[in-house]
Amino acid sequence: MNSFNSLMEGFASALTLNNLLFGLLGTILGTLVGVLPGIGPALAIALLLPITYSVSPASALIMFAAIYYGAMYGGSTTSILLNTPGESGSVITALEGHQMAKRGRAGSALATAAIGSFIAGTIATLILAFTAPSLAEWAFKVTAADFFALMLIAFTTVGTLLGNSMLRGMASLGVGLVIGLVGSDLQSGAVRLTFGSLQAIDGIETVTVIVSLFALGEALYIAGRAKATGWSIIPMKGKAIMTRQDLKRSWRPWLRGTAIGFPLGVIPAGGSEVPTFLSYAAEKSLSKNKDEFGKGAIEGVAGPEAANNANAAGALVPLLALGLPTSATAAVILVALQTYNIQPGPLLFTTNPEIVWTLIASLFIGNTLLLLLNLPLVRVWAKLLNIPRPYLFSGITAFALMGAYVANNAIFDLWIALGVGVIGFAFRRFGVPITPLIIGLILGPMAELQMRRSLQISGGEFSALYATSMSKILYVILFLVIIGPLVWNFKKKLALKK
Amino acid sequence: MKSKKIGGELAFAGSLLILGLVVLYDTSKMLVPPGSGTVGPQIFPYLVSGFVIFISLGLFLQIFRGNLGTPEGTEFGEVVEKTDFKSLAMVAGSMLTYPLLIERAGFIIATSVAFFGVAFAYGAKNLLKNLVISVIFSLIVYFTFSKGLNVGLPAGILGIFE
Repeated sequence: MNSFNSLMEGFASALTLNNLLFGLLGTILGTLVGVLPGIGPALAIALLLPITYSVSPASALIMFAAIYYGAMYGGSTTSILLNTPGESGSVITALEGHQMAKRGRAGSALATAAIGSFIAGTIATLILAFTAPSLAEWAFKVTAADFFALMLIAFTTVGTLLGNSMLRGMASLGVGLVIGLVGSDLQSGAVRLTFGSLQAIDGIETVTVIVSLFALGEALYIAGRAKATGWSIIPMKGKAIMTRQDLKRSWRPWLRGTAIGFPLGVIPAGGSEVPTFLSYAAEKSLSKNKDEFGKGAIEGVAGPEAANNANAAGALVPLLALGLPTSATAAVILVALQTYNIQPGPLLFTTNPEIVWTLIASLFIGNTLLLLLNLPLVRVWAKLLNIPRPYLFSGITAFALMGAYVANNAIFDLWIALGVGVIGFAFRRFGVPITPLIIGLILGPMAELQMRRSLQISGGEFSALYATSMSKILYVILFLVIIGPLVWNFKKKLALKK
Repeated sequence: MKSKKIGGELAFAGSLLILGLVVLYDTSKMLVPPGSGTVGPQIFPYLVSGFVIFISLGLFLQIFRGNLGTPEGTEFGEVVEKTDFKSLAMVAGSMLTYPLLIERAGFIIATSVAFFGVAFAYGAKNLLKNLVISVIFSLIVYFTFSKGLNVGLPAGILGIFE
């Protein structure tokens, strides 16, 4: 009941005409950037972040929520019409949705993706509104040592579950941790890894790293490593509407997708790859028309798209309640909230309740605006896919460089951006996933803080790190997360030998 | 053929090893302010450097056992086996002009140059069309951000026209 009242207050402060206009603008910009091939939601949000700096906090939140949903939906449009998943969560949509588009059912695919995302997003945000406060309350009892153990688990799952080599995921994490060290240590004032540079004392701008890693790294990689083959765009015919038959086949997958996606977002399961895949597998095994899968089954779009959106909302639970980002997109959101002077974590719900509830209300509003705006405008978005490749990459590069410069109006940041761009290129070249770097960069300093806090209380006694029963349980889980994939691989090898 | 492939991989693992050693060295030379307590600013960097060195050694082992990384697939056509260094250098070069020009020549010129260069490297054949698009793009972005959103962008040598 309490949550309900707070939520209504959140709506009251979010729903002004001015804010709605900002929300509308955010939806348009988010979709516009999200639709562009090669730009996933994390990059789209990071690129658009500077725009929200100049507006008031409440408007910035609603605009930001709208950008977030717009970018997610823009990505699925691209997957369906172009067969190019902008991010791992859209791989399945590309698989099944593109087949539907090829058979002239692009409208139905886009509609089931949009409505499914809307329903999943709404249900998941509702659950978020009612579970996050109690999690935050519980988190008050969590000690610094427990937090440290929790962060180690987040590091490990993100490092091992992404990409196809655990070691390479860990390498990415390590580079992120090193970048996070640069600058003066907040507790003691000691200066680390600045090599005499005065500008490096303030540390390295997180948004600059994220944008350069994705955008500049991608521009370099595609230039050097991809054959200049054209892509085939499926022209968008008719309207994005569903038939009664489509609806009948879609609503159960939507709900099942939500049920699979949300919990896997709450626990650090390494992003949206696993839930969308599980949802697809579930729909395939439950479907009466199994032979349609792979050739354009609507269930194969409805389920995974709902799972993807519910997963993203689920990731907001640990983000808001514990301050723990578990995906690249969540990490960007954390950075965004910090620039609005909002520090997610257990304290947030007691110190700034009005901001949390405004944010949650904004998520509902952004999601609704998106549905109202996108279905009628889908053909306009589809046109964006016709931008020639040279100008697409020029534009992405120019915006990334501008973003790096305007953060502090410093040329120093541009050199950092170029260096990070080279890292992004090398990572792609050698099959190293990028998300662990971002998680390491953001969580590293937080993990250090918790570790030192815990050790300071114990007077430097390391056993304090695993003294509580909760931290013991967490270390057991950590052990399983590390050992699990190794055993799995070993078994596979044994089976292959036979 | 095979040894050539390993070269890049070894360079990657080597860079990681060097990174770990640099962190180790920097941490050992760190000036620790007095009163930092028992748990100072050195513990975490030591752990991080140890972790990075450990992972790089693991990578070396993996490479020598023939376990190479798979280059990431792209949305933009097939991945080629050999890096196209000419296009790569042109894109990198265009990016490099930006920090050199942004404050000296201003936002509009710096953006136009970088935009033109990247588009050219990506195969925009019609130079005049490319030039026109670059300049129009820069002008639109400049005026939208500096006049519309109050984001300060350097006017540079074109500032005399305002």
